Amino acid sequence: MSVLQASVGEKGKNLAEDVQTVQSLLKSKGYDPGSVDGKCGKNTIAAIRKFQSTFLTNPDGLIEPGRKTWLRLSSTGGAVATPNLSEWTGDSARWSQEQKLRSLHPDLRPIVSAVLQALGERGFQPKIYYGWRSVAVQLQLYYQGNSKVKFSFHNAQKPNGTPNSYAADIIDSRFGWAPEAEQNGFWKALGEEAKAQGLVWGGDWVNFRDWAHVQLVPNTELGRVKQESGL
Amino acid sequence: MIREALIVGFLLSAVQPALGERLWLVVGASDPSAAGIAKKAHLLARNAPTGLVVRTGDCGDLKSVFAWVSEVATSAEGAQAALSRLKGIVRDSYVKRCDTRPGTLLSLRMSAVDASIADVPENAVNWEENDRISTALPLPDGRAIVIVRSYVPIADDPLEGRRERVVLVEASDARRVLEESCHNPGPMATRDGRIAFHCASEQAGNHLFHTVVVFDGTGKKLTEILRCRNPKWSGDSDIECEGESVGPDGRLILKKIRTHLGPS
Repeated sequence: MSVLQASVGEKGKNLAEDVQTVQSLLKSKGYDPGSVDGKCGKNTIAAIRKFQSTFLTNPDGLIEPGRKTWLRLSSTGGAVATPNLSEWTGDSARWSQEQKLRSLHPDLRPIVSAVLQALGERGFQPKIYYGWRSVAVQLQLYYQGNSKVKFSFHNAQKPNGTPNSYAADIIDSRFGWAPEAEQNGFWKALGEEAKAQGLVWGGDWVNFRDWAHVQLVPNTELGRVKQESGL
Repeated sequence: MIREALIVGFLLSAVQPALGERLWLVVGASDPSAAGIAKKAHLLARNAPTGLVVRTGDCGDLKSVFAWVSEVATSAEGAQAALSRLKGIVRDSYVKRCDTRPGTLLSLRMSAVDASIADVPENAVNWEENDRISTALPLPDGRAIVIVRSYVPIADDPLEGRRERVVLVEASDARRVLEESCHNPGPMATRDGRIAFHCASEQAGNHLFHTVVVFDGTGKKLTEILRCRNPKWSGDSDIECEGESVGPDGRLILKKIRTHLGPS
Protein backbone atom coordinates (compact mmCIF):
# COMPACT_ATOMS: atom_id res chain seq x y z
CA MET A 1 0.00 0.00 0.00
CA SER A 2 1.16 3.53 -0.73
CA VAL A 3 1.96 5.91 2.11
CA LEU A 4 -0.27 8.74 3.30
CA GLN A 5 1.14 10.88 6.11
CA ALA A 6 -1.96 12.90 6.94
CA SER A 7 -5.51 13.57 5.81
CA VAL A 8 -6.33 14.87 2.34
CA GLY A 9 -9.47 16.60 1.08
CA GLU A 10 -12.22 18.64 2.72
CA LYS A 11 -10.75 20.17 5.90
CA GLY A 12 -7.76 17.82 5.64
CA LYS A 13 -4.14 18.67 6.45
CA ASN A 14 -3.39 18.48 2.72
CA LEU A 15 0.38 18.08 2.77
CA ALA A 16 1.55 18.67 -0.80
CA GLU A 17 3.13 15.22 -1.20
CA ASP A 18 0.00 13.50 0.14
CA VAL A 19 -2.26 15.51 -2.16
CA GLN A 20 -0.08 14.59 -5.12
CA THR A 21 -0.28 10.90 -4.20
CA VAL A 22 -4.06 11.08 -3.90
CA GLN A 23 -4.39 12.99 -7.18
CA SER A 24 -2.24 10.40 -8.99
CA LEU A 25 -4.27 7.52 -7.57
CA LEU A 26 -7.59 9.19 -8.42
CA LYS A 27 -6.41 9.72 -11.99
CA SER A 28 -5.16 6.16 -12.26
CA LYS A 29 -8.65 4.98 -11.34
CA GLY A 30 -10.39 7.18 -13.87
CA TYR A 31 -11.40 10.14 -11.67
CA ASP A 32 -10.33 13.64 -12.62
CA PRO A 33 -8.92 15.83 -9.83
CA GLY A 34 -7.50 18.33 -12.35
CA SER A 35 -3.73 18.56 -12.59
CA VAL A 36 -1.44 16.58 -10.27
CA ASP A 37 0.00 19.63 -8.55
CA GLY A 38 -0.13 18.82 -4.84
CA LYS A 39 -2.80 21.47 -4.24
CA CYS A 40 -6.14 20.35 -2.85
CA GLY A 41 -8.66 22.49 -4.67
CA LYS A 42 -12.34 22.01 -5.48
CA ASN A 43 -11.61 19.62 -8.37
CA THR A 44 -9.64 17.29 -6.12
CA ILE A 45 -12.34 17.33 -3.44
CA ALA A 46 -15.02 16.75 -6.07
CA ALA A 47 -13.07 13.77 -7.43
CA ILE A 48 -12.69 12.35 -3.90
CA ARG A 49 -16.45 12.71 -3.33
CA LYS A 50 -17.21 11.06 -6.67
CA PHE A 51 -14.87 8.19 -5.83
CA GLN A 52 -16.44 7.83 -2.35
CA SER A 53 -19.94 7.82 -3.83
CA THR A 54 -19.23 4.37 -5.31
CA PHE A 55 -19.06 2.81 -1.84
CA LEU A 56 -20.22 5.37 0.77
CA THR A 57 -23.73 6.64 1.27
CA ASN A 58 -22.47 9.97 2.65
CA PRO A 59 -19.28 11.02 0.87
CA ASP A 60 -17.42 13.63 2.94
CA GLY A 61 -14.59 14.46 0.54
CA LEU A 62 -11.96 13.53 3.13
CA ILE A 63 -9.33 10.79 2.96
CA GLU A 64 -7.61 9.74 6.17
CA PRO A 65 -4.68 7.32 6.57
CA GLY A 66 -5.88 3.80 7.35
CA ARG A 67 -9.57 4.61 6.81
CA LYS A 68 -11.96 3.11 4.27
CA THR A 69 -11.50 5.63 1.45
CA TRP A 70 -7.74 5.42 1.62
CA LEU A 71 -7.78 1.61 1.71
CA ARG A 72 -9.99 1.56 -1.38
CA LEU A 73 -8.02 4.21 -3.22
CA SER A 74 -4.63 2.64 -2.55
CA SER A 75 -5.76 -0.89 -3.43
CA THR A 76 -3.59 -2.29 -6.16
CA GLY A 77 -6.18 -2.76 -8.88
CA GLY A 78 -6.54 -0.69 -12.00
CA ALA A 79 -9.43 1.49 -13.02
CA VAL A 80 -12.64 1.19 -11.05
CA ALA A 81 -14.47 4.27 -12.31
CA THR A 82 -15.73 2.37 -15.33
CA PRO A 83 -17.25 -1.00 -14.42
CA ASN A 84 -16.30 -2.70 -17.71
CA LEU A 85 -12.62 -2.15 -16.89
CA SER A 86 -12.79 -4.43 -13.87
CA GLU A 87 -10.80 -7.12 -15.68
CA TRP A 88 -7.69 -5.01 -15.03
CA THR A 89 -7.81 -5.44 -11.25
CA GLY A 90 -5.67 -7.59 -8.96
CA ASP A 91 -1.93 -8.18 -8.94
CA SER A 92 -0.84 -7.68 -12.54
CA ALA A 93 2.25 -9.86 -11.99
CA ARG A 94 -0.18 -12.79 -11.54
CA TRP A 95 -2.21 -12.17 -14.69
CA SER A 96 -2.08 -14.71 -17.52
CA GLN A 97 0.53 -14.21 -20.26
CA GLU A 98 -2.27 -13.34 -22.65
CA GLN A 99 -3.61 -10.62 -20.36
CA LYS A 100 -0.12 -9.22 -19.72
CA LEU A 101 0.40 -9.01 -23.46
CA ARG A 102 -2.93 -7.23 -23.88
CA SER A 103 -1.91 -4.71 -21.21
CA LEU A 104 0.89 -3.45 -23.47
CA HIS A 105 0.73 -0.49 -25.83
CA PRO A 106 -0.53 -1.74 -29.24
CA ASP A 107 2.82 -0.93 -30.85
CA LEU A 108 4.75 -2.83 -28.19
CA ARG A 109 2.55 -5.96 -28.22
CA PRO A 110 3.74 -7.50 -31.54
CA ILE A 111 7.35 -6.59 -30.80
CA VAL A 112 7.32 -8.31 -27.43
CA SER A 113 5.63 -11.33 -29.02
CA ALA A 114 8.45 -11.47 -31.58
CA VAL A 115 11.09 -11.22 -28.83
CA LEU A 116 9.42 -14.03 -26.87
CA GLN A 117 9.31 -16.21 -29.97
CA ALA A 118 12.95 -15.54 -30.86
CA LEU A 119 14.07 -16.37 -27.33
CA GLY A 120 12.02 -19.57 -27.41
CA GLU A 121 13.72 -20.57 -30.64
CA ARG A 122 17.06 -20.10 -28.91
CA GLY A 123 16.08 -22.69 -26.30
CA PHE A 124 14.93 -20.37 -23.52
CA GLN A 125 11.58 -20.42 -21.72
CA PRO A 126 10.68 -16.73 -21.76
CA LYS A 127 7.66 -15.20 -20.10
CA ILE A 128 6.41 -11.74 -19.29
CA TYR A 129 6.72 -11.08 -15.56
CA TYR A 130 5.25 -7.58 -15.73
CA GLY A 131 3.42 -5.86 -18.52
CA TRP A 132 1.29 -3.10 -17.08
CA ARG A 133 1.57 -2.19 -13.39
CA SER A 134 -0.85 0.12 -11.62
CA VAL A 135 0.21 3.48 -10.18
CA ALA A 136 -0.87 2.20 -6.76
CA VAL A 137 1.56 -0.74 -7.00
CA GLN A 138 4.31 1.57 -8.27
CA LEU A 139 3.87 3.94 -5.33
CA GLN A 140 3.85 0.98 -2.99
CA LEU A 141 7.18 -0.21 -4.42
CA TYR A 142 8.60 3.30 -4.24
CA TYR A 143 7.66 3.93 -0.63
CA GLN A 144 8.87 0.49 0.42
CA GLY A 145 12.24 1.37 -1.09
CA ASN A 146 11.88 -1.31 -3.78
CA SER A 147 11.85 1.03 -6.76
CA LYS A 148 13.70 4.24 -7.61
CA VAL A 149 10.77 5.79 -9.49
CA LYS A 150 7.22 6.88 -8.70
CA PHE A 151 6.16 6.70 -12.33
CA SER A 152 7.55 4.21 -14.83
CA PHE A 153 6.76 3.22 -18.40
CA HIS A 154 4.96 0.18 -16.92
CA ASN A 155 2.34 2.55 -15.46
CA ALA A 156 1.29 4.09 -18.77
CA GLN A 157 -2.43 3.95 -19.36
CA LYS A 158 -5.14 5.50 -21.45
CA PRO A 159 -6.84 8.45 -19.74
CA ASN A 160 -9.81 6.21 -18.89
CA GLY A 161 -7.54 3.91 -16.88
CA THR A 162 -7.10 1.12 -19.44
CA PRO A 163 -3.57 -0.34 -19.30
CA ASN A 164 -1.30 0.88 -22.08
CA SER A 165 2.16 -0.12 -20.86
CA TYR A 166 5.21 1.07 -22.78
CA ALA A 167 7.39 -1.53 -21.02
CA ALA A 168 7.59 -5.23 -20.20
CA ASP A 169 9.78 -7.29 -17.88
CA ILE A 170 10.77 -10.56 -19.51
CA ILE A 171 12.37 -13.43 -17.60
CA ASP A 172 13.15 -17.09 -18.22
CA SER A 173 10.53 -19.02 -16.26
CA ARG A 174 13.24 -21.35 -14.90
CA PHE A 175 15.53 -18.65 -13.53
CA GLY A 176 13.78 -15.37 -12.76
CA TRP A 177 16.54 -12.99 -11.62
CA ALA A 178 18.69 -15.76 -10.08
CA PRO A 179 22.37 -16.02 -11.18
CA GLU A 180 21.42 -18.85 -13.58
CA ALA A 181 19.79 -16.28 -15.87
CA GLU A 182 23.17 -14.74 -16.53
CA GLN A 183 25.12 -17.99 -16.42
CA ASN A 184 22.89 -19.46 -19.14
CA GLY A 185 23.11 -16.37 -21.31
CA PHE A 186 19.48 -15.38 -20.95
CA TRP A 187 20.02 -11.66 -20.27
CA LYS A 188 22.46 -11.35 -23.15
CA ALA A 189 20.02 -13.07 -25.49
CA LEU A 190 17.15 -10.87 -24.29
CA GLY A 191 19.23 -7.75 -24.93
CA GLU A 192 20.15 -8.92 -28.43
CA GLU A 193 16.61 -9.83 -29.44
CA ALA A 194 15.03 -6.72 -27.89
CA LYS A 195 17.49 -4.35 -29.56
CA ALA A 196 17.14 -6.17 -32.88
CA GLN A 197 13.46 -5.24 -32.65
CA GLY A 198 14.30 -1.60 -31.87
CA LEU A 199 13.44 -1.73 -28.16
CA VAL A 200 15.36 -0.05 -25.34
CA TRP A 201 16.89 -2.67 -22.99
CA GLY A 202 17.42 -1.97 -19.27
CA GLY A 203 20.52 -4.17 -19.21
CA ASP A 204 22.33 -1.35 -21.02
CA TRP A 205 21.79 1.08 -18.14
CA VAL A 206 25.27 1.00 -16.67
CA ASN A 207 24.43 3.02 -13.56
CA PHE A 208 21.35 1.05 -12.61
CA ARG A 209 20.73 -2.20 -14.49
CA ASP A 210 17.25 -3.56 -15.07
CA TRP A 211 18.06 -6.77 -16.93
CA ALA A 212 14.52 -7.97 -17.55
CA HIS A 213 13.20 -4.61 -18.71
CA VAL A 214 12.43 -3.64 -22.31
CA GLN A 215 10.62 -0.50 -23.37
CA LEU A 216 9.22 1.00 -26.52
CA VAL A 217 10.68 4.51 -26.33
CA PRO A 218 13.75 6.23 -24.80
CA ASN A 219 13.72 7.49 -21.21
CA THR A 220 13.52 11.07 -22.40
CA GLU A 221 9.88 10.39 -23.33
CA LEU A 222 8.77 9.55 -19.79
CA GLY A 223 7.19 12.96 -19.25
CA ARG A 224 5.24 12.77 -22.49
CA VAL A 225 4.00 9.26 -21.67
CA LYS A 226 2.91 10.34 -18.21
CA GLN A 227 1.03 13.27 -19.67
CA GLU A 228 -0.53 11.08 -22.35
CA SER A 229 -1.68 8.76 -19.55
CA GLY A 230 -3.54 11.65 -17.93
CA LEU A 231 -1.41 11.27 -14.80
CA MET B 1 25.65 17.27 46.89
CA ILE B 2 27.85 15.92 44.12
CA ARG B 3 25.17 13.37 43.28
CA GLU B 4 22.53 16.12 43.02
CA ALA B 5 24.76 18.22 40.82
CA LEU B 6 25.31 15.21 38.59
CA ILE B 7 21.56 14.62 38.32
CA VAL B 8 20.92 18.29 37.45
CA GLY B 9 23.70 18.14 34.89
CA PHE B 10 22.23 14.99 33.40
CA LEU B 11 18.74 16.52 33.21
CA LEU B 12 20.07 19.67 31.57
CA SER B 13 21.98 17.68 29.00
CA ALA B 14 18.88 15.62 28.32
CA VAL B 15 16.65 18.59 27.55
CA GLN B 16 19.10 20.89 25.78
CA PRO B 17 20.33 19.97 22.34
CA ALA B 18 24.09 19.72 22.09
CA LEU B 19 25.49 22.90 20.54
CA GLY B 20 28.57 23.25 18.43
CA GLU B 21 30.47 26.39 17.53
CA ARG B 22 28.86 29.81 17.29
CA LEU B 23 28.80 31.13 13.74
CA TRP B 24 27.50 34.15 11.89
CA LEU B 25 25.89 33.41 8.54
CA VAL B 26 25.85 36.13 5.91
CA VAL B 27 22.53 35.40 4.23
CA GLY B 28 21.75 36.58 0.71
CA ALA B 29 18.61 34.55 -0.03
CA SER B 30 16.27 32.03 1.50
CA ASP B 31 13.62 29.64 0.23
CA PRO B 32 11.44 26.90 1.71
CA SER B 33 12.33 24.44 -1.06
CA ALA B 34 15.59 22.93 -2.25
CA ALA B 35 14.64 23.54 -5.88
CA GLY B 36 13.94 27.21 -5.13
CA ILE B 37 17.18 27.88 -3.26
CA ALA B 38 19.19 26.05 -5.93
CA LYS B 39 17.96 28.50 -8.56
CA LYS B 40 18.63 31.53 -6.34
CA ALA B 41 22.08 30.20 -5.42
CA HIS B 42 22.87 29.65 -9.09
CA LEU B 43 22.27 33.33 -9.81
CA LEU B 44 24.12 34.59 -6.73
CA ALA B 45 27.09 32.29 -7.22
CA ARG B 46 28.18 34.35 -10.21
CA ASN B 47 29.22 37.10 -7.83
CA ALA B 48 30.02 35.02 -4.79
CA PRO B 49 31.30 31.62 -5.95
CA THR B 50 32.22 30.39 -2.46
CA GLY B 51 28.61 30.60 -1.24
CA LEU B 52 26.94 27.73 0.52
CA VAL B 53 23.35 26.54 0.98
CA VAL B 54 22.49 26.00 4.64
CA ARG B 55 19.46 24.46 6.30
CA THR B 56 18.54 26.76 9.14
CA GLY B 57 17.55 23.64 11.08
CA ASP B 58 21.33 23.11 11.40
CA CYS B 59 21.21 26.17 13.69
CA GLY B 60 18.43 24.57 15.71
CA ASP B 61 15.59 26.52 14.04
CA LEU B 62 12.35 24.63 14.54
CA LYS B 63 11.03 25.78 11.18
CA SER B 64 13.89 25.01 8.86
CA VAL B 65 14.28 26.80 5.54
CA PHE B 66 17.14 26.89 3.08
CA ALA B 67 19.46 29.90 3.12
CA TRP B 68 22.16 30.82 0.68
CA VAL B 69 25.07 32.30 2.60
CA SER B 70 27.95 34.12 0.96
CA GLU B 71 30.23 33.51 3.93
CA VAL B 72 30.25 31.62 7.20
CA ALA B 73 32.04 33.84 9.71
CA THR B 74 33.39 32.84 13.09
CA SER B 75 33.05 36.34 14.56
CA ALA B 76 30.44 39.09 14.45
CA GLU B 77 33.05 41.53 13.13
CA GLY B 78 34.03 39.19 10.29
CA ALA B 79 30.35 38.78 9.44
CA GLN B 80 29.80 42.55 9.29
CA ALA B 81 32.70 42.95 6.85
CA ALA B 82 31.30 40.14 4.67
CA LEU B 83 27.84 41.66 4.89
CA SER B 84 29.14 44.99 3.56
CA ARG B 85 30.55 43.16 0.56
CA LEU B 86 27.31 41.24 -0.05
CA LYS B 87 25.14 44.35 0.30
CA GLY B 88 26.65 45.51 -2.98
CA ILE B 89 24.99 42.51 -4.65
CA VAL B 90 21.95 41.78 -2.49
CA ARG B 91 20.57 44.86 -0.82
CA ASP B 92 18.43 43.10 1.78
CA SER B 93 21.08 40.60 2.86
CA TYR B 94 21.57 40.14 6.60
CA VAL B 95 23.56 38.32 9.28
CA LYS B 96 22.08 35.38 11.16
CA ARG B 97 23.72 34.21 14.36
CA CYS B 98 23.83 30.45 14.52
CA ASP B 99 24.74 27.98 17.24
CA THR B 100 25.61 25.11 14.97
CA ARG B 101 24.32 21.67 15.79
CA PRO B 102 27.18 19.19 15.74
CA GLY B 103 27.21 16.57 13.01
CA THR B 104 25.32 18.74 10.54
CA LEU B 105 26.36 19.75 7.05
CA LEU B 106 26.87 23.29 8.28
CA SER B 107 29.29 22.12 10.94
CA LEU B 108 31.24 20.46 8.11
CA ARG B 109 30.86 23.60 5.92
CA MET B 110 29.20 21.54 3.21
CA SER B 111 26.27 22.67 1.12
CA ALA B 112 22.83 21.23 1.81
CA VAL B 113 21.94 21.58 -1.86
CA ASP B 114 24.49 20.82 -4.56
CA ALA B 115 24.97 23.49 -7.24
CA SER B 116 24.01 21.01 -9.99
CA ILE B 117 20.45 20.82 -8.61
CA ALA B 118 19.72 24.15 -10.31
CA ASP B 119 20.01 22.33 -13.65
CA VAL B 120 17.36 19.64 -12.97
CA PRO B 121 14.90 20.00 -15.87
CA GLU B 122 11.54 21.54 -14.99
CA ASN B 123 9.74 18.63 -16.64
CA ALA B 124 11.57 15.87 -14.73
CA VAL B 125 9.06 13.24 -13.67
CA ASN B 126 10.61 11.37 -10.76
CA TRP B 127 12.57 14.01 -8.88
CA GLU B 128 11.38 14.53 -5.29
CA GLU B 129 12.41 17.18 -2.78
CA ASN B 130 14.55 14.66 -0.88
CA ASP B 131 16.48 13.86 -4.07
CA ARG B 132 17.75 17.44 -4.01
CA ILE B 133 18.97 17.58 -0.41
CA SER B 134 22.35 16.34 0.79
CA THR B 135 22.61 14.77 4.24
CA ALA B 136 25.27 14.17 6.88
CA LEU B 137 25.59 11.09 9.03
CA PRO B 138 28.03 11.21 11.96
CA LEU B 139 29.87 7.92 12.54
CA PRO B 140 30.49 6.59 16.04
CA ASP B 141 34.26 6.96 15.59
CA GLY B 142 34.17 10.75 15.14
CA ARG B 143 34.16 10.76 11.36
CA ALA B 144 31.12 11.54 9.20
CA ILE B 145 29.56 10.34 5.99
CA VAL B 146 27.99 12.90 3.69
CA ILE B 147 25.59 11.86 0.96
CA VAL B 148 25.83 14.52 -1.74
CA ARG B 149 22.71 14.40 -3.91
CA SER B 150 23.28 15.87 -7.33
CA TYR B 151 22.14 16.06 -10.92
CA VAL B 152 24.21 14.66 -13.78
CA PRO B 153 23.04 15.69 -17.24
CA ILE B 154 23.30 12.30 -18.96
CA ALA B 155 21.10 11.79 -21.99
CA ASP B 156 18.43 9.12 -21.68
CA ASP B 157 19.29 8.28 -18.07
CA PRO B 158 16.68 5.97 -16.47
CA LEU B 159 16.91 7.94 -13.22
CA GLU B 160 16.79 11.34 -14.95
CA GLY B 161 20.29 12.18 -13.75
CA ARG B 162 19.67 11.58 -10.03
CA ARG B 163 22.93 10.70 -8.29
CA GLU B 164 24.16 10.15 -4.75
CA ARG B 165 27.87 10.53 -3.96
CA VAL B 166 29.24 9.09 -0.71
CA VAL B 167 31.92 11.25 0.91
CA LEU B 168 33.90 10.37 4.03
CA VAL B 169 34.84 13.33 6.23
CA GLU B 170 37.75 12.49 8.51
CA ALA B 171 38.10 13.87 12.04
CA SER B 172 40.95 15.95 10.56
CA ASP B 173 38.38 17.41 8.12
CA ALA B 174 39.99 15.65 5.13
CA ARG B 175 37.38 14.53 2.61
CA ARG B 176 37.45 11.41 0.43
CA VAL B 177 34.90 10.34 -2.15
CA LEU B 178 34.19 6.70 -1.38
CA GLU B 179 31.60 6.14 -4.12
CA GLU B 180 30.93 8.56 -6.95
CA SER B 181 27.52 7.01 -7.61
CA CYS B 182 25.68 4.99 -4.97
CA HIS B 183 21.89 4.79 -5.01
CA ASN B 184 20.20 4.55 -1.61
CA PRO B 185 23.45 4.17 0.37
CA GLY B 186 22.63 1.75 3.13
CA PRO B 187 23.58 1.20 6.76
CA MET B 188 27.14 2.25 7.56
CA ALA B 189 29.04 -0.44 9.44
CA THR B 190 32.40 0.61 10.90
CA ARG B 191 35.15 -1.41 12.54
CA ASP B 192 38.69 -0.19 13.36
CA GLY B 193 38.50 2.62 10.81
CA ARG B 194 37.10 0.39 8.08
CA ILE B 195 33.65 1.10 6.73
CA ALA B 196 31.09 -0.97 4.80
CA PHE B 197 27.73 -0.03 3.28
CA HIS B 198 25.51 -1.04 0.40
CA CYS B 199 24.31 0.71 -2.75
CA ALA B 200 21.22 -0.24 -4.76
CA SER B 201 22.53 -1.37 -8.13
CA GLU B 202 19.87 -3.34 -10.03
CA GLN B 203 16.11 -3.70 -10.31
CA ALA B 204 14.83 -7.27 -10.04
CA GLY B 205 11.04 -7.37 -10.40
CA ASN B 206 9.56 -5.94 -7.23
CA HIS B 207 12.93 -5.77 -5.47
CA LEU B 208 16.27 -4.02 -5.61
CA PHE B 209 19.61 -5.79 -5.68
CA HIS B 210 22.51 -4.15 -3.87
CA THR B 211 26.28 -4.13 -3.92
CA VAL B 212 28.18 -4.05 -0.64
CA VAL B 213 31.36 -1.98 -0.71
CA VAL B 214 34.08 -2.09 1.95
CA PHE B 215 36.80 0.54 2.49
CA ASP B 216 39.88 0.65 4.69
CA GLY B 217 40.76 3.53 7.01
CA THR B 218 42.38 5.49 4.19
CA GLY B 219 39.32 5.29 1.95
CA LYS B 220 40.79 2.57 -0.31
CA LYS B 221 38.21 0.09 -1.56
CA LEU B 222 38.91 -3.38 -0.16
CA THR B 223 36.16 -5.34 -1.83
CA GLU B 224 32.76 -5.32 -3.53
CA ILE B 225 30.17 -7.99 -2.86
CA LEU B 226 27.56 -8.13 -5.59
CA ARG B 227 23.90 -8.76 -4.82
CA CYS B 228 24.22 -8.42 -1.07
CA ARG B 229 22.66 -6.02 1.47
CA ASN B 230 22.92 -4.89 5.08
CA PRO B 231 26.63 -5.44 5.78
CA LYS B 232 27.72 -6.10 9.36
CA TRP B 233 31.14 -6.76 10.81
CA SER B 234 31.65 -10.16 12.33
CA GLY B 235 34.71 -10.22 14.56
CA ASP B 236 37.63 -8.08 13.43
CA SER B 237 38.13 -9.40 9.96
CA ASP B 238 34.90 -10.75 8.48
CA ILE B 239 31.99 -8.95 6.87
CA GLU B 240 28.54 -10.50 6.76
CA CYS B 241 25.73 -9.48 4.43
CA GLU B 242 22.47 -10.91 3.09
CA GLY B 243 22.94 -12.39 -0.38
CA GLU B 244 20.03 -11.55 -2.70
CA SER B 245 18.22 -13.61 -5.29
CA VAL B 246 14.78 -13.30 -6.88
CA GLY B 247 13.22 -16.42 -8.34
CA PRO B 248 10.75 -16.73 -11.23
CA ASP B 249 7.84 -16.27 -8.79
CA GLY B 250 9.22 -12.81 -7.94
CA ARG B 251 9.99 -13.66 -4.32
CA LEU B 252 13.14 -12.30 -2.73
CA ILE B 253 15.42 -14.89 -1.14
CA LEU B 254 18.07 -13.69 1.32
CA LYS B 255 20.98 -15.87 2.41
CA LYS B 256 23.78 -14.92 4.79
CA ILE B 257 27.17 -14.47 3.12
CA ARG B 258 30.41 -14.13 5.07
CA THR B 259 33.51 -12.66 3.47
CA HIS B 260 36.94 -12.79 5.09
CA LEU B 261 38.94 -9.59 4.74
CA GLY B 262 41.85 -10.20 7.07
CA PRO B 263 42.95 -7.95 9.92
CA SER B 264 42.89 -4.19 9.47
